[in-house]
Amino acid sequence: MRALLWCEGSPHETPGMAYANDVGGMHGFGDLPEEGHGFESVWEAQIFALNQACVAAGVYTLDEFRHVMERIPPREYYDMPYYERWLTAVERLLP
Amino acid sequence: MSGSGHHRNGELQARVNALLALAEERGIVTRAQIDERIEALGSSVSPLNGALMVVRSWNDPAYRDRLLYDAGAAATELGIAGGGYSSDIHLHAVANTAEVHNVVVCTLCSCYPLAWLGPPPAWYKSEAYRSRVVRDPRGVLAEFGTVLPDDVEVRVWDASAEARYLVVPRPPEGVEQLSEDEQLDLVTRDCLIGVAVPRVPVH
Amino acid sequence: MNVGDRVRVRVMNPPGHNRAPSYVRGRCGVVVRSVGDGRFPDEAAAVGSDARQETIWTVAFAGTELWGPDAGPRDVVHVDLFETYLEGA
Repeated sequence: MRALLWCEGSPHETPGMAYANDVGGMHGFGDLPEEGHGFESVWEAQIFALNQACVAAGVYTLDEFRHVMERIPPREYYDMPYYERWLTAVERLLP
Repeated sequence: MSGSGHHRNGELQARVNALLALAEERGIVTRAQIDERIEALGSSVSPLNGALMVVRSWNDPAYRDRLLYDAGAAATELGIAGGGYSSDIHLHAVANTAEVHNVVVCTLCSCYPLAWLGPPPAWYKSEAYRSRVVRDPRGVLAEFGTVLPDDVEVRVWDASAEARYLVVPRPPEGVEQLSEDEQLDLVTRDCLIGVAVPRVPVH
Repeated sequence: MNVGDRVRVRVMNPPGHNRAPSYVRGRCGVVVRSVGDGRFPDEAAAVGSDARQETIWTVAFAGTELWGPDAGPRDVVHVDLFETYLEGA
């Protein structure tokens, strides 16, 4: 199986442009965070539920939501708490 | 890096409040419906759902076959609703064996079998986990205390599209001496993600 | 395309939304499962729910194909990829 998975001549240069969310394989993000519950504040649960409701109601698709979130510039993106990225995306999609 | 933002909770809550008011005004969703969704996430949707499926599969080989063939249907069979964002999202169960260990991630965002396991833990959403587990799965697993023999194949599942993955751990040695309720306690959320394996406590 | 096929993820740099992680672009793997159909994300991000449906395949990549000799020799990474992202290899 593993031999089959190998492909001669695969390019080993950087394969492509990435948005800030596309972190698979990247170095430098440090240690895993401390154990935290699903939602640490009320606003986190609320933005989560609001986004779910908007997708369910067809206000926008999950891909539109993801794309808007991906377009947050990397410097701001990595600086934001996780659910603030969601909040920022919904703020851009809802009005 | 992405901390929890506690010191800015007031500002962030105010921004969310404005959106909730806007959504209600536009007839998308009421505050009461938001509260209902949050309530459901806190109670009916939890890792116990996944644990129920795993324990049933340990004790019923026919159920195990059905679980590995169509996990969504196997969940429904136990009265576990699933769903969530849309019917496009479906569950797939991957089983650990003596030769293979499975672990789940979403490198592009944080796709998670939420409808079956509840909201993901902080580490699952972190760049630290998402960046590293595809490149060095054994190293990450070791940080969770899961050290695998060299000859075990590690299969990482990067949930980048409509499938959500649930790991079916192997029944630990001595599990047959436990009641089904006691077995449920062994199947933690981390076992269902694949960063831990169930262990029978030594008394 | 079918289970068992050897495929390569297209090298691509679209300016919009795309759900092929960069670490698999240009890499070869084997199709191990059909996930079924999904709304093509690149299009769904632009036009919403009218986007076309497309088959999603689970592709298995050897760790060494993705990371070279620094990967564990028995590590395999599975990624779910829309058919448009893939070409025969």
